[in-house]
Amino acid sequence: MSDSNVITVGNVSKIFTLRGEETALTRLIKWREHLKLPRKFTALRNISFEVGDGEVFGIVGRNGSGKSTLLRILAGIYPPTSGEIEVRGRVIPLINLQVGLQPKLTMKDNIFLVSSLFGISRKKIISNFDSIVDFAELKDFVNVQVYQFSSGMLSRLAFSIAIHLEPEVMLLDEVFYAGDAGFREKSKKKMMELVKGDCTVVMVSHQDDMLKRLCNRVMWLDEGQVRSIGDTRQVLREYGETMST
Amino acid sequence: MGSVRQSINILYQTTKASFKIRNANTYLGICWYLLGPILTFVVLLLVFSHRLGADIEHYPLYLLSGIVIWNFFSMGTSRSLTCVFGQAGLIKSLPVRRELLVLSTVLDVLISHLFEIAVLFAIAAYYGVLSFTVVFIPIVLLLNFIFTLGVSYALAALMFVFRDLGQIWSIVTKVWWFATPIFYALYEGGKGEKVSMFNPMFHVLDISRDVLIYGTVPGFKSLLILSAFSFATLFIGILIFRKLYPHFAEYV
Repeated sequence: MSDSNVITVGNVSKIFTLRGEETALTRLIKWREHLKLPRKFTALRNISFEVGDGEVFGIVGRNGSGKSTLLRILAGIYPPTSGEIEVRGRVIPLINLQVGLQPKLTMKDNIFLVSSLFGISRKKIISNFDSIVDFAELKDFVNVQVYQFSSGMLSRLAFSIAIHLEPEVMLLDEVFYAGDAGFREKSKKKMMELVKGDCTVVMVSHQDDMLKRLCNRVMWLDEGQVRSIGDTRQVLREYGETMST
Repeated sequence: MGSVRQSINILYQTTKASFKIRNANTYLGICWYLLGPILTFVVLLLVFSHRLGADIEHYPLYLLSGIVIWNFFSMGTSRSLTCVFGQAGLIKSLPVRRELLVLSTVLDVLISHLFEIAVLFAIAAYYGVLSFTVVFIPIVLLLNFIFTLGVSYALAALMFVFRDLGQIWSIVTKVWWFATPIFYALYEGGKGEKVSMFNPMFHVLDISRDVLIYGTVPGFKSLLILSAFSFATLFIGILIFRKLYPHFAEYV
């Protein structure tokens, strides 16, 4: 049963300890507030699900329902408090696209640095380099230090690097499309190509149209618990109903 | 095995990035690697050469070697303090192997340290004191590296628990600087010598100076103590790092 499953999540819970002011003096002054602080926050409660090879699995839920926490646990950024997780294959987490970009380095250095952090070999980066630069439409800025880039340019660069990674398992956390309409169209198309390809995808999104077009199944997370898993349209309808009440 | 290659690749890229960024912020860039120690050296030489330094053979070399070697330890550890902690965005978004961040920071400092060692060699050659014993330099260099790395791992991890570690470490290194015979020499058979047995940096300096300036083969006992300290420190440092590792992303 679990042979073809790329991702297996068994009874996972995640509890965070909330901290107030860190310094000794403020703690002394604000001791009353500290007494009131809810010490522990349960972000995820007994979550279980599986994702098969090549499947596109959507996750929806209100803000604060635990979606990003779950994604981070899947990415291996922190461990679950209890439960088991198994993810097979190279994981590319696209949680914060501009992660790793160093302002003082040139675009060329950044492309190599960020791609390496995601596990791409040097040979591959070299062969993809021109394509990355072209897609981002930044051919004239290869040796410019990126602190000089506009925010739009940074987003385009980050996105371009991201879509040239070769994921076996891709985790998308509400990846926004930056740039003008033309670039956004290009991005959406490329993203859909990637998602429809061989890789297994878990995507957190608020965009119904993308979810309907791409996902095989969708899971609805509410306050850290699974409300519903199943057919995309059905779950989205259930979720949508609570939104309008 | 793709994972080992990946790690080496990441290490290479992050070390390169660390090196470039260090240079990018200043106009003189790489020159500061040499200028820094040389300026300290000039000041201390002016102050001490006639008093404390009068009894020490080849005092300028003695002093400069002390400054340069201490500098590696001091810079390596202080830069490691923030190398993981300061990359909050990165560790919260990517499951990158965090040990590599510390390793790349210390490696970056090692590279600039090698420049400084080259300068030391040149000066030693000018004074005519170079002898075959310099083949031992790589060994003591390696032991210094291992010791510094161990301390760096511990500091990088503990930074997440003690936010004030930066201030504390800065004071600790200042005191340690004075306690180590960088600009002075210990009295033979005095109290200082006994205590210094427990100071790994004393052994690093002692052995380095023996082989570089005085043409003496390093004492076995000294090498043994230093090796024991270095590897034990590395072991403990990595232990602390691994223990705190899973929760880094939650503490920042």
